[in-house]
Amino acid sequence: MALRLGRYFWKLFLANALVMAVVLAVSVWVIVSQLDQFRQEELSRHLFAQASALEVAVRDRFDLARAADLNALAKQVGSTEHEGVRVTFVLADGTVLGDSEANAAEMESHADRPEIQQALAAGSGESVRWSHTVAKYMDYVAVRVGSGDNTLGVVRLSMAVESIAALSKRARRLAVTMAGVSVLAAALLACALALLWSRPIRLLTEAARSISGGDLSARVEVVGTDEVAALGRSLNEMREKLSTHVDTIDRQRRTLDSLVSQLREGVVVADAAGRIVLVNAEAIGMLQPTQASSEESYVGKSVEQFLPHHKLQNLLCESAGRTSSGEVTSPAQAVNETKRSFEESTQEVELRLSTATGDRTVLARAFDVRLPADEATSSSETAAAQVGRALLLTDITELSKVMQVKADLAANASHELRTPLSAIRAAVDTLHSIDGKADADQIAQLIDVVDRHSGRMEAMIGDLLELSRLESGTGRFDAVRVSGATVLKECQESFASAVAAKKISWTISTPTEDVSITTSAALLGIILRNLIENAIRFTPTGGEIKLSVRKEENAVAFEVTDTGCGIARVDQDRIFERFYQVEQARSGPNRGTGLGLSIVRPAAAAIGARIELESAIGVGTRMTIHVPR
Amino acid sequence: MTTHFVNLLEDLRRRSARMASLVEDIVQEACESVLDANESLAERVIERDNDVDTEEVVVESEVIRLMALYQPVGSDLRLLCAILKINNDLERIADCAVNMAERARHMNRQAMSPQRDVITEMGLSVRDMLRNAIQAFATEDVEIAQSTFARDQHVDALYEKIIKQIVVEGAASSNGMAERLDVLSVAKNLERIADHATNIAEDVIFLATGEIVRHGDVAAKMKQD
Repeated sequence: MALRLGRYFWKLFLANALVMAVVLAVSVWVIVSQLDQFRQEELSRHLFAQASALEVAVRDRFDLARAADLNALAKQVGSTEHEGVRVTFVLADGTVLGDSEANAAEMESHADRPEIQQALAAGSGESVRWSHTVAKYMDYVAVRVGSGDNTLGVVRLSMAVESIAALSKRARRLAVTMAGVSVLAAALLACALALLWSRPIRLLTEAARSISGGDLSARVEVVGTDEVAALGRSLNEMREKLSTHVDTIDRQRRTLDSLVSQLREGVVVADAAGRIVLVNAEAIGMLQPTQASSEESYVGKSVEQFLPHHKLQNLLCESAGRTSSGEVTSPAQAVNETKRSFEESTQEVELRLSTATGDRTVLARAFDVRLPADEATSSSETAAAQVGRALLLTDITELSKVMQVKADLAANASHELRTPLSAIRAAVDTLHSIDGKADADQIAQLIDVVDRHSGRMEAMIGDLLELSRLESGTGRFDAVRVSGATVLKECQESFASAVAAKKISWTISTPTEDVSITTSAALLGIILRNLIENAIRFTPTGGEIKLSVRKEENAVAFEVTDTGCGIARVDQDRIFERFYQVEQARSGPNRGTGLGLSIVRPAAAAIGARIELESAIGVGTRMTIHVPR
Repeated sequence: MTTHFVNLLEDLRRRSARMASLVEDIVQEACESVLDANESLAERVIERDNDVDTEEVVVESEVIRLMALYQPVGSDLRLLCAILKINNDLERIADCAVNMAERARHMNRQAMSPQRDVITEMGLSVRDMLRNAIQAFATEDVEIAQSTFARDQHVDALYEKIIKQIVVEGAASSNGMAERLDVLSVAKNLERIADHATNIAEDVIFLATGEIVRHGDVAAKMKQD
């Protein structure tokens, strides 16, 4: 374990160490001073005892005459018996009889010394003061020689304070050494305690930090039942709950993300400040076809950067009836606001966008949405909701094409029906206006016109009915076993006269193998008849038409090939629409109903056949029907 | 700079980008009105030009206000300068679109027919250039900005082609001179729009890199000095 000691450790350690050091220091100081005092008392008692003993020894020879004796005694006792002890004999008048250190004869009167005065008065005295004689601080002890009414003098013993201190120094050094060792031990103990107490806290901190860093697998080892262990257990519980919540949120977000990204509609959501909040892949495909960036890279950008179209920018940024602030205060109010404004705020625009798959017609719808408030701007009390704006882009290219075809159908049908009808009306009007004398030929001609045009109308209405029956899928077509060769032969027979009239060469190739299929003979007939009719119509006199049938892997293919005018590439997709006729067909002499191929398509779909078209202008056309076997 | 200033600057940039796409829209409508001789669309273009004019004044005064109040430096100052210059170009582009729409009001489809294809191509190229320039401005994308320069030459070539065609036709017959002049005016305006789009792209490069790419020689010379 890498030992990274935190502040908490140092706090614990320093506090413990300080307390121990203070306690130790105070105890050592108290013990040492007590010891000093005790020694001091002991010493002065000792000095008194010595002084009293000396007093007994010198009592009977204590006078000036025996000063030399006393002086010798003083020097003997002072120098030999006690190192550092000074002995002085003083007469009651202050005259020094003998001294162990100095020459007694040269010494001044000692009558004014406080210990001597005390001793003379009370029998004993003590004082600590500066000695001029030996130039040291001294502790003086004096004992009176003689009884109270016959005072002879004073025996004074003194010891240098220095030597007293020197004596206690050893004891003191021992105490300090002991104190030092104890402080060291205390520091080690404090360190160990601090380590022990701070470790769980440090582990908790590390776990909490890794949780906040997103690692929800971090667990704390909990030992014991104390407060720290309780904290650890709470942390573990919190982690589990958090992990569950995060999982839930993550799952919801992923569900939402995948739903939004799979939508066939483009979705763009912007907040009140005009920043993109959400955008899906479909919207990017429609709006930024050249940029292959991910959805996330657009989030947070401004609407203007993402939407290159002014109308869409307006839709997304300008809500109808938006309050100026764009902020709604209470949630309930916000819901009402959103409900109300959903209807009012919805705006629609239809526009063309050029995307990777070509020009698309897109219906853009924008409406207000309530977004969760921005953390940075919301105050905690009012759960303020932000009103953003959502843009829904629906690709209506196919729909608008269908609508166009429907609109065209109505217009075309009425137009196509009116043309023969007006011819008929004109003929009938002429018939009305001419009198009986009229030419029989003329009348026959007019009747012929009526006949021809009413026939055309009938054919057209028949086709329309057939078409609607096919498209609605209500008609029932029973499948029977038919031979491809037979079907072609029937077609050949029914169109023989028309082909002969246009002097078209007409070849049919059927294979020797069996090309039977199970399908609706009626529908197959309708398809082939329409294709052959077209081939005959658009093939000029002297042209060539080939019919063939061949076996394929899973199908039988019928082919109608002509050497007609061909169909331009732009028209190839549209010729299967109702009433759609290419320019030549519309203006040429041999116009049809414009419904033939539009019947072929649903008929082919009904029998599961696939139509293939190959054509080149001026060369001819080949239509192939693959009918499943 | 203060957050307040940053917000104001961002609002202004967005406003300018919005104006840019409004202008793009107007140009598209102008092109359509000319090609389809659609009079009501032409009226709409002329009407929407007023919005551009209003917006131009608002943007310009906001630029000046921000410059005076906050005395920006560095990229902020460059952005304000670029917005100011692009603002001017956008307004001129809208004016060109109005000129085209005014031609469209009394043009007939037949008069267009010989040059219709070239005008269509020119219109597409110019709109592409403008869209790229505006996209570059919105996203501060130097690469997109540079792509406009090459297209400008293409537009110039188309413009020359139209002039040649008109000269040849005019020499052949003096009939329909007025219509031919209309076509010429439309082409001229498209060419101008392309020039303004190039200016915008240059300003975007200045905005993004601080380099002045206009008049290549002059800038190079200044650097040498």
